[in-house]
Amino acid sequence: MIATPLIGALVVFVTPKSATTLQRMLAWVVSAINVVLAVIAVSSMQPAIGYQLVDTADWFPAMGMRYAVGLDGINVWMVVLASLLLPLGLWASRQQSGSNQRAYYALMLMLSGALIGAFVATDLLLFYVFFELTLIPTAVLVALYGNADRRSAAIKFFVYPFVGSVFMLMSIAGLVVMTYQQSGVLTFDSVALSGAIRSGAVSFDSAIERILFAGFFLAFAIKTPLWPFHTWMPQTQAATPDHGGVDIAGLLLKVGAFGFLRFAVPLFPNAAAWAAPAIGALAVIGIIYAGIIAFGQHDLKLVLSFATISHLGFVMLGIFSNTVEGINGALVTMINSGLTTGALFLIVGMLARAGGSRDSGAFSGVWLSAPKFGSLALVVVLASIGVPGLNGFIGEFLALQGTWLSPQLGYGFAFFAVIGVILSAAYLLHMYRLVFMGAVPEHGGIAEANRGDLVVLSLLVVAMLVVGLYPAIILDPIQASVAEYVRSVTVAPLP
Amino acid sequence: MAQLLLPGIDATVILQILILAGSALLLLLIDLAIPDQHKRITALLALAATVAAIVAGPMSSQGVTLAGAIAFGASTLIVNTIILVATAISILYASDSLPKQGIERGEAYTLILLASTGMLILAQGASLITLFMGLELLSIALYILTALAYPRLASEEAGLKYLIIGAFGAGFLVFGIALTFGATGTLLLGEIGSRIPSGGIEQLYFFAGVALMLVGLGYKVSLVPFHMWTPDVYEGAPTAVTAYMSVGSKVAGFIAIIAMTQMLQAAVGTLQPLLMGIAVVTMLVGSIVAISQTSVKRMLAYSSIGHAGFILLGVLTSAAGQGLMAPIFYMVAYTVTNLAAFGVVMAVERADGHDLQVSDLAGLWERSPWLTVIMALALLSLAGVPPTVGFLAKFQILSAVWSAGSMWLAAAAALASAISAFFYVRTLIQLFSGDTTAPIDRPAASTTLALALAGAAIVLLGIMPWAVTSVALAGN
Repeated sequence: MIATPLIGALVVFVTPKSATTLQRMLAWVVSAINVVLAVIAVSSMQPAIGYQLVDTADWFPAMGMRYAVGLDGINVWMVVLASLLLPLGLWASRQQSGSNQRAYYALMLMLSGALIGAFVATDLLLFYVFFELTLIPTAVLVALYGNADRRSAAIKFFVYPFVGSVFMLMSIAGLVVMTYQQSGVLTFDSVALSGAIRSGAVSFDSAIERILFAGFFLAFAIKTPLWPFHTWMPQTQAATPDHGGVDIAGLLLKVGAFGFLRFAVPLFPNAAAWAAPAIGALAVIGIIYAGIIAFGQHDLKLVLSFATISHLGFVMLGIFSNTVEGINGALVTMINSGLTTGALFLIVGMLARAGGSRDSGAFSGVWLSAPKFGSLALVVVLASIGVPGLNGFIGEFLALQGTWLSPQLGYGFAFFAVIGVILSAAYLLHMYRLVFMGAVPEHGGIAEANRGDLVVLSLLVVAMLVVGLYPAIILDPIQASVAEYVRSVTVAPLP
Repeated sequence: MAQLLLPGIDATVILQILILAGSALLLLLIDLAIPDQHKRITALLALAATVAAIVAGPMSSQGVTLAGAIAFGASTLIVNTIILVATAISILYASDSLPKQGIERGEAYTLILLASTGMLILAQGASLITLFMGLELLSIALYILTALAYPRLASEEAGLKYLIIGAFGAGFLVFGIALTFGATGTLLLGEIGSRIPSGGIEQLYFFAGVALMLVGLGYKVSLVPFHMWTPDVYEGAPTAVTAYMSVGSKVAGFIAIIAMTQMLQAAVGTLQPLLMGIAVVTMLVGSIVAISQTSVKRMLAYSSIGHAGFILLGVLTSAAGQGLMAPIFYMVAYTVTNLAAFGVVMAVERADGHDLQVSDLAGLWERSPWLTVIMALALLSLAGVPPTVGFLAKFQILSAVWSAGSMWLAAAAALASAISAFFYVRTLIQLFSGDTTAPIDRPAASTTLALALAGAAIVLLGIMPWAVTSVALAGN
């Protein structure tokens, strides 16, 4: 499943420059194969504890490095999302013109392969390899196909997260070496490492544990992005191509938040519990800050960018609440953010194509000239706000519930986070009003979206409704893993 | 009359040195018969000699010869192979770029072979005198190579600067050797360790001698504060020579430094804090100053200074855990990566030897996708991004540092590589954006071959590191 897109990318790269249709076909075929594989993977999941569909091989035994992947409740939906968003991104960009399409398809496939790899890796070093590998294609995509500001955006996009990851690499080295010194086992396996730490076979001085945790924290907080490490994100998204294909793929960069869940917290439960209030505070500040900033944005993509930052604030609250509800909420919010914001990027891409601009002031009365498009867009916006009955509500509600119940966070955090929900309703509806309401401009409104676009949007809306009305479909496969996870990371309260 | 006893020579121990030195001298004669327009034949012969020396590697036997002055030890095979592969790739580069710039001369290839002989002697040296001899042979050949484009002022200046600074370094080294010999009464590295004076003026002599030797070697591998010559020389020398020099003399110099630290054994602890300080400062200076460079070759020069700091860190800390695997692996990674990077610079730069600027790389993707891919791989590897070989190398150094229990050194190393990421990535993004300027001539077959080799090595060794480490580990 990882290999399919990566091989696809190689194949696309060696095809002749002019064979655009062939390259596009290849990309579609590869993404279709992956969706099928993902569906098979989900349907074969048992509601049990531990990794399934595990695949391992020795990679570099002398250093204890292994190729080890597996699926459990925590990553299974991430993989599905990663598989689904690739075709969505390709759909958004299908009318892209330009001379060199070959690199575009090759890089998109490479990105998707690296992301799936990062989600399923259970070996710490393998995860790091895939984690870094996601940076390269995205930065090059921005540099090749972006807008005027693309060069500095691409540099920022690469350097900022990379700085974080270097410190994570330092922490990985420290963790593994100290585990080796204490237990004599040289391994990068996350299960074995966290098991050793929990059982007390390996223990660190609390100062050292906190420093190791800080390395992971820096990498994941930048990637997530958690306020105040978020500054790379709006700039990058402002510079990506208008059609939004790259942004949709970029939504998958949930790999930061996922990293907290999978690695940083289980490996250093004490340090994580110690840092939880501070991180919770950052998350809440991020939620409110993004809400306020988004209100003042004219560029539709920037609005969405800040909306993503705010969503991820909820995810972080959920993760660090360390409760079953919170973690479930975090996972559902991650999925929602992919679905809903993905759909919003698609809508902005369609608007930009039809209207030639991404400025909210350039549009007016779209509802009147394109009613079907307008109503679908309204549902998506409502889902993003978190109206009950749609998917956004479930995730945010669970995350807030977890925050309230959490021993480390508590109701104060939940209270301020709710303000963020109100703000997000305000700025998204404000944006919707500007673009879709009002009179049709004199020079003619936006034409109704074509049938293909409407079908894709409708499918997404159906998915949102299903998740919103019957969340068990998402929650069932993940319950067992989440319960086990919470039990494993719960620590005695600090004296 | 006292009989002068010649020590016995075991030719199998120094097989590679013999092949290289012999063919260098032979080539000097053959070259006289080759007309100017067919110097390519000289290049091919030099290449053949190098390949023969590589093949001879596994046939050599471990041991010590020439009265203990020269040895073929556990890690010699891998080190010699690095040096010889770098030589081969450099000859391929030179045979393309020197004629292009109109500065091809037959003796260039002889000089490369002689310099490589010096490197091999340095790598195999087991006595202080052998180390000095290898270093001088290497240096003198490189002084001439640097000034090869002598009608060009920059090249001449670089050669002269390198000569003067190099002579300084050699002076330090030879004075250090004298002091060490005076304090211990032996020149053999293996014996010095057990004869370190435990006190008195002799101890002072000894450590002063070691420090002076390290200064001399520090010039060679461009550790801060002995690095000033590096950017100027890298910039001025013909790029093919820079590629060769940047890897060859660094690897050879570090092998000598490793030999010194092994010689010191436990006494290395006395100098440890100082050396670690040098390593950290070297990493940081290399990374920070490189940010402000506009010339690609100068940037790579500072980058090589930064990498020297990393290697030194590995040399100092890895003795405890995995043997010398970490620094040796790092040198392998650095060698293939730097060769690839300089190779692309050579293929892109103009025939008049005009110094290539970072901005000249703009839009390379549109002009030559394959060169871009190689350059991108090289930059990612220098920055330490997976799945390239540079990543594994950096990770091993970090592990070695942690094993030695120096958490703050690991943090400093991480900081330095975070800083250095900036200019690597800036260059990388430059390749993919910006306006297309002058088109690029298709590189000659020899350059293409060499680039393909180096580029493939960056990826393959990143995915299959055991190809190198199994050899390196087998020795330990």
